[in-house]
Amino acid sequence: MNALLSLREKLKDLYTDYDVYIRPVLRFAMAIVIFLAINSKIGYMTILDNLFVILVLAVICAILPMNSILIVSIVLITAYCFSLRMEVGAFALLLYLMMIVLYFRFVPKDALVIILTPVAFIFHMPVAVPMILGLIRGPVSAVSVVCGVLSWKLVESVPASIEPLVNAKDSSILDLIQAMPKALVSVETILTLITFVVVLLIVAAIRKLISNHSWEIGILVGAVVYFGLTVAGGYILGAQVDLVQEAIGTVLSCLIALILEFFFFSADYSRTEYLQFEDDYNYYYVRVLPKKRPGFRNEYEEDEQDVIPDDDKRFMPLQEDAELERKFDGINLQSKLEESLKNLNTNQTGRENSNAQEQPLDPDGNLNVAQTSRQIAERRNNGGVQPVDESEDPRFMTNPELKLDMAPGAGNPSGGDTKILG
Amino acid sequence: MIDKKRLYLMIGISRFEQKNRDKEFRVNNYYQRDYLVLAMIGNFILTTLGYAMVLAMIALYNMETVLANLNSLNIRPLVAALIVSYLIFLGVYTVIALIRAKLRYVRMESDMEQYEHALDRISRIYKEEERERSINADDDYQEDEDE
Repeated sequence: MNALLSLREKLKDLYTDYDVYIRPVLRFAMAIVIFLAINSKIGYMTILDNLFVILVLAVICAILPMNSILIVSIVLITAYCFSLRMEVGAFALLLYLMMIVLYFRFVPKDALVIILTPVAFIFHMPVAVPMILGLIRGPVSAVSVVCGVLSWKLVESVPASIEPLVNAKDSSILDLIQAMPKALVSVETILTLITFVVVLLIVAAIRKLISNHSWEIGILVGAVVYFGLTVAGGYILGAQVDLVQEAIGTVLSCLIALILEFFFFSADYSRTEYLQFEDDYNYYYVRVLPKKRPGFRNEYEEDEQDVIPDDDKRFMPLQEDAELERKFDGINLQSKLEESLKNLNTNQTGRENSNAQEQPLDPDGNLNVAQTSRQIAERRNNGGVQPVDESEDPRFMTNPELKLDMAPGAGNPSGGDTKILG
Repeated sequence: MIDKKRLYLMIGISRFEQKNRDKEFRVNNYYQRDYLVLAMIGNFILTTLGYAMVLAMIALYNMETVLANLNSLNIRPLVAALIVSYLIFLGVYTVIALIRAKLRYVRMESDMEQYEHALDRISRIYKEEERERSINADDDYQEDEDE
């Protein structure tokens, strides 16, 4: 267990240090896997079904935002369908456009599901998609899952039923046109849709209801429900189900979901931000890396503290209750206050009696700063007053999640670039 | 020494600007009514396109029936059914798009208000810093002169 924990910490450190490079590499890897999976299933165009072309496309996707993978994948699928027959390509284009126009324009964050679902099916781990969506997104993503399943059915049906029709000499264009939408609506499709939606809703509900280990419980229950529904549904509806393959796929899906749980839940690296701004005196290069939050996944805006005036809450990084509570844990604040009041009275009385001429006020009644400072320094040297460590004073802890690191650098009129390191 | 509170405010503002570069700031260019009208126009175009696609998909699915009954089609009830279904379709999407646009605008208004307030606060903090800096400079000058 210790080895696992230390490995986890090492991975965290690695990600923290190199996430600028790790993110594009992950996008690149994801793009490669998706494109290769699509090619393995419907790679009908020799120009595109080429490792070099795929690598170039993946590099482009690594630089661009995540949704570029979706666009390139849809272009690939449509191009392959067009290369098979014009009508097939037009149908694929129509299907994807319909999904985007009618649904994903409202929920663009879920759009990648259209491509990830077919890829998950190709790798025999279909349940990973509803499980992960249930954990990360919530019940609204049920429609996204439906779109994903339809996308997979298109990719699956092209080599399975459309290609034989295209190659058959006695088939008419009418057969082909009718076969395409009918391939999307079958007993297996309905079973898959029901299973996926139920798994997603259950996982999302468990993740929200229970705070401790909710992710793990959600993953486990989702896997069991998926397996049970697939077996039972296959038996009742007469659909073909490969039990061994489903079992292995479900276990692998659980592993993927657990890995994602590590990244999204443990430290929430998905919310790492890089900010750059400047004022008249400094350039600020800031990396904000949110820490692990107690309980379930952090809703950033909702949990903010009252330490900041109401109007500024939206623009101040949040502060954790627990940090301040821990700070005063086991301290009787009332007795401390009484004690310090007593000390204050004693000091004042003593000073008045022993050193009446050293008043901190000058003859005009103003505060003599230099004299007061001298007195404080003397009392510190005598052990009378303990110096206050600003870093530990709760008044200065506007954000315990961030650490300030000042480093000297060029181009800064006041003598240093400022970095905030999480 | 950099004022931490100012720094955190700046971080929050910078984060907000980066995150909402394409959303809030664009929405902020319109009055609410104009924004909603624009959203409705966009929704009308996209929903009509989507409805046509759905119809095409249904026609493809029932292509054999459509072709068989093409000559004996009763156009008037068919057109009426298409118009009614289109209106229902458009109505549902319009409600969804309207609620979404309205929510987005209201949230944007509130966010921008806080954003401007935070900018004001930063400006005040800068002024205070400037004042303290000038007082310190005066004190240093006075001390130098006394020496």
